[in-house]
Amino acid sequence: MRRKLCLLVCCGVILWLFAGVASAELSLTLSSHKSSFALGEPIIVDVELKCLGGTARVLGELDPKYHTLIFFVRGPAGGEEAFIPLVLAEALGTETTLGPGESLKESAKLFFGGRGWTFPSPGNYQIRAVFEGVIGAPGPLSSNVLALEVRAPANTAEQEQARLIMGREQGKFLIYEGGDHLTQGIQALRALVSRYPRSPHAAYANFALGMAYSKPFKNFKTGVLRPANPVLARNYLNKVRVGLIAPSLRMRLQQLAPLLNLNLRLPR
Amino acid sequence: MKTKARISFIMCLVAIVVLVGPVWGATRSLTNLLSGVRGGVGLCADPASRDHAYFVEYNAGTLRRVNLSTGAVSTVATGLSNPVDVAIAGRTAYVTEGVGRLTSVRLDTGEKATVVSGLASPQQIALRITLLRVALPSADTWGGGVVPVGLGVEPRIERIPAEIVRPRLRLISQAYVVEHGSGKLTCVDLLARSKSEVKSGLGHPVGVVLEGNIAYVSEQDGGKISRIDLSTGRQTTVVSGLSQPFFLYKRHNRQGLFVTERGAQRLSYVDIGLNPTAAKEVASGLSALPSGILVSADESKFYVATDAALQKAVLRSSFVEIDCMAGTAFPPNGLSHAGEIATLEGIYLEAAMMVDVRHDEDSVANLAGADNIFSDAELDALMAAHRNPAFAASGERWSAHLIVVNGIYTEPGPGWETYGVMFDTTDRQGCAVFYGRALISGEPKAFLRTSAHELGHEFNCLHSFGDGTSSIMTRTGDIDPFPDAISYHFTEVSKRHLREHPSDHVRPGGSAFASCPESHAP
Repeated sequence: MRRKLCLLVCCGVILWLFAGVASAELSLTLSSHKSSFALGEPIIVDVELKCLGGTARVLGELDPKYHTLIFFVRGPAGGEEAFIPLVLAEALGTETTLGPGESLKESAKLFFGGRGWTFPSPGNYQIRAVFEGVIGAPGPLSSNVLALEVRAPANTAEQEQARLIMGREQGKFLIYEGGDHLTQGIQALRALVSRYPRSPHAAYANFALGMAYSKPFKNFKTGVLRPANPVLARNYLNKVRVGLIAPSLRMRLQQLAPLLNLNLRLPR
Repeated sequence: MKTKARISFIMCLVAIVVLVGPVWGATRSLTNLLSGVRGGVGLCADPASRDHAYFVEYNAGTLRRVNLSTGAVSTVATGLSNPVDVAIAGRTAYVTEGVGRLTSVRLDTGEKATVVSGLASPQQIALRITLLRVALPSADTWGGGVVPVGLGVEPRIERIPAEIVRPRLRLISQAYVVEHGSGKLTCVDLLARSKSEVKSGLGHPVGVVLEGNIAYVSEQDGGKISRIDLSTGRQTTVVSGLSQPFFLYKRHNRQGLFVTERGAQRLSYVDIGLNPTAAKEVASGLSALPSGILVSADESKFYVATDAALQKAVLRSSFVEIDCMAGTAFPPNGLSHAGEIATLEGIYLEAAMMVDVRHDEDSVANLAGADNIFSDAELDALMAAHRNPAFAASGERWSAHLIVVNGIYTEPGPGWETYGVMFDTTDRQGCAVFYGRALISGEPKAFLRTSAHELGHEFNCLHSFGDGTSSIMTRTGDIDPFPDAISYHFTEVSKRHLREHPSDHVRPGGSAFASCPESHAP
């Protein structure tokens, strides 16, 4: 009798553990606010993990640095390579339960990573991702394939914009949204926003420079803690042409606006 | 017909052996530098040339000099009676002989002279040649009456300050020899040509090395290495259970010994700074009767004299520079876990990598003030700012870097705890562990494992190398429960990557993370 009871309890536990996953229907969707980008224009992809039905238990972050969500990029030459985030992080997270219609959203800065600039030449690119954080799932969850075009510079100005942004230090600064020690990168980004203020490249550069100065920076290279500089931050962020940047950055800027008393250049 | 088949079979076996060439064990490769050796035993560096070494042949009675790059060999002296070990001081070699002698051999002429006799099966020699200044006119000048100015195999006279009037110099020139037959450690005064007993009652001692006033002795009885205080004679066991431990080699400037184990035909490493400690395999599959050891300065090449050959084991070698922020600690070493003693060195030795862990700065300012949260950009600056050029990569030795951060990482959201990061993936030159996390500061197992894991990323190991196991490279979130279910071992996939894949795809700074053309299939 006791044995039967134990067996029933075990079965119950097993069913409970797998119930959510077995009945859950999940989708992983990649999207972008536009499909054509200038060469060097930072490409940020929106990711949505959505529960379409049932209940799903998820353990993992949608930030690729945690290596639960892995992106793959196929370039104009045809080969597909895994995207390597600039930083790898090792963490323990908490489990999230997604009910029907609920989702997790994140934006992934794919333009620069361990292999340098991810979209280094004009042409057609395809991006897909797999998510390995669904508890109890038999395998990773695959996304749709997102097709993007990187346009060749149409003139010398666009060539110059790409040249000014596509350096190693600039890439790191744009990803980190900071880094006072990346002096050469900062210099190039300042030149970019000064010479080509209306370009999409400048919009991202202004955003990163402004975000950097909105926070203090522990500069271990000089041994000095730089305090936040709201004046400088405001100066750069007010110049961001909001309509040119990815929606996720736009949202962050809007959240910051009242704190820094920003006068945002919203699209007409 | 049967004979033909047998011959074919033997030919096939020979062909396989020839084709396979170097033995792939724990080492990257094990090759014969010199074959046809007739009872190779003692082996030592040539102080005059880092490319050469001396060794003795027990059966042939010869002292020979070998080029460590080419294997070219020349005979220095013949007619020795079962020579066992050799040590060099200046232009003189000292050789222990099975007949009970310690003999000096002039390296330029080959001329031999008996230093002492009556030793009972003398084995390894450890020279101690020290020049002392004594009876100085003023104790204040030097803060004492006796100042050693050189300790090593060669006397060295340093500049004598002008204020020292008529200093007296005294040369201490000693050889410490273990006697297998009598169980003694004996000190031989090389100038007076006399001997004195230092320690008796040893269990068939074979190997001896000195470190300051301490002698380390390998004993066949109990398969142990003992530590003997030469001032007090106090003896303690460092490690036991070795398989016929033979000669010893002291790791340069480090708390470590290499030992040949004849029973297991391997070369092992013992961290003598730990208590308890354990032997870790450096090279296995050595030829019969491995004895004398010589290690290159960059710790990438290990030479062992065996009965029939001089063998060379090649390992990968890397400094691991560790810096700590004020208020943190260096990663723990020598943890007892699952019946083993876990160390960074031991973890990497399993993958044929000799890491030289250097605790460098211990009070890096965290610049944090009230803010102990570290962003990616700040960590990037931190990595670049604290590299010590003394531990820079050079030659065959690489350099990895780890910083223990007094704070936490900018987490992606509530409920997340990041324990370590690797920076940056474009060239893999640094990593950090977050001491601000209670699991790191309060749980040594997690601290050591996270350090080994992040360093693994610096050596271009991927999470997927740990698939299905709780190995060093398994993603932390996949270990359940963490840290109790951890293992301090790499998977075979990781080991193969660390040991065999092209240098640029393993060494920190060599290439971007995950860029390795080799297969990583299990």
